[in-house]
Amino acid sequence: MCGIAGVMIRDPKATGASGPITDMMEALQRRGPDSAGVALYGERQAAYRVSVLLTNPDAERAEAIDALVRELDGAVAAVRTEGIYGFLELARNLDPMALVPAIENRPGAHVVGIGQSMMLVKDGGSVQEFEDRYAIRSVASRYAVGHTRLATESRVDPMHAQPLWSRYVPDLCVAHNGHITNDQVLRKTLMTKGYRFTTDNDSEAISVYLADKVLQGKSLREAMEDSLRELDGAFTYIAASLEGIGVARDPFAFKPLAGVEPGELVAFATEYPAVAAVAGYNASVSELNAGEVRVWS
Amino acid sequence: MVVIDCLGKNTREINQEIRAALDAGAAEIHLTNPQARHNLAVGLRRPCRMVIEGSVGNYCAGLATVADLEIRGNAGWGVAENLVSGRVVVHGNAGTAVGASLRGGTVVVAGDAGTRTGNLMKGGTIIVGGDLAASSAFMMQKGTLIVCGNAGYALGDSMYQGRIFLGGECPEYGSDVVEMPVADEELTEIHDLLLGYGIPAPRRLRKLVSGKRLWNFSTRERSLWRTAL
Repeated sequence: MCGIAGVMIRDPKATGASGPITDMMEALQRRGPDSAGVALYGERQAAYRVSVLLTNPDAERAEAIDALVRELDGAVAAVRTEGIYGFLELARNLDPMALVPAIENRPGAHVVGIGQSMMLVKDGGSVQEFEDRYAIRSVASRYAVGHTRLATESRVDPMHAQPLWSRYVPDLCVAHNGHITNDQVLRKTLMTKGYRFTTDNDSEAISVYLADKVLQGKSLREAMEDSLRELDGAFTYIAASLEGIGVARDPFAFKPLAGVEPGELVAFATEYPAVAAVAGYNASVSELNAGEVRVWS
Repeated sequence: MVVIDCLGKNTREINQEIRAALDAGAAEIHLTNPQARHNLAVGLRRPCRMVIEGSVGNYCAGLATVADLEIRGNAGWGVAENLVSGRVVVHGNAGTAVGASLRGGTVVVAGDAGTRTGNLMKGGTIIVGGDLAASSAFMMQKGTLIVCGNAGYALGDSMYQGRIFLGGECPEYGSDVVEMPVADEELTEIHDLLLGYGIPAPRRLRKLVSGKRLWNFSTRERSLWRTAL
């Protein structure tokens, strides 16, 4: 199953998307009881923020973060530890991608998100536990992508939870519901181009696929439209980047996605009650059509 | 009239209260604060007028043998799936698979309806006041589907029998769907039916039926089968 949700407030100065995305994820809880995650897009900062997931035992996590910051030697301007994460704010003018190997060289450390706007967090457990642990509602954001996971094809752990950052483009992430049946073929093609995968999750094929397209100079919309021709399987997914947020549904419309977009709020989710929870029960909610892509910025 | 407030109750409690009211012979039941919950008013087996004051989630009025249900809001997927008789009216939009495998009765969606509406319908009537999404009326076997707006691709794919009336455009019909002239009495029938639900009739209607070429396999029509399968 899995539940996916995306929300954007049209006013470019708005900061209130984190509450609605949490409401939507709560409404999608039963579709994905094993993990929860969000990517929150706030005001774009000059410095990059890095979400480092630490699989070290709880007692050793703080020490692992300290060691990591020491090793990065002045690259980290600020650090915050929450749950199983160390959130690093890098010094300005640093290429964050160049630091990924050094960070992941530390035992137990995995980079699950890098962005100037995006903050990505995902963890095992329910949405309520997730909110208790990371206080998502209080984070300022204008748009957001949420995911509740019921794993059917790869391991249940925070690494395999979603949204999945694209790994090769900062701020680009994907939340996916369904199955990509040609993911091994796509992986092989992308690996010959030099891309590396960090999970067995079939959804990672989408995030790296989109990264490849964006690095070729395509817009988020173009990349997503291309994906409908090249991805095989039953899927809906929500992608977001600095350009905005987009939704896509497979050409056979196997997987559901409903939403609203007139007015101040754009909200899409796997199930109608999740949309109604933020747009009101009388909002004119309708399904995304088969093979359709919509992008908002 | 019995009023059931859904606030603070779980779905099973609500459906049990509906069943108890029906067993007690209620003539009319109103459900308030439905909050887009799934599985409301499923398995209705006694005739009774029912009004849901708001939007519902998935599978509302599913598996009902008798229904006279009005939903004053939107509906999620599978509204009135497998309805046997009576009618279900949705004032707003509805999700995927409206009236799938419908056996009888009438399902009306005043707004737009989602993909796979009327799939495998074996009787009855479905009316969509707005647009209809792709892959609808797949393998339709009997009954009538009326679409006042546009339809998505593959409308009526591999239908056996039944009638589809389309007011707007469809980018691509499904396999073996053919257009037929609309008879005057059919036009009157559709107009009267729409008038009864306050839905404006489209300016023109096209009638779509099965070309019956998929009824029997023929090697000479390999390409038709390839797209159908």
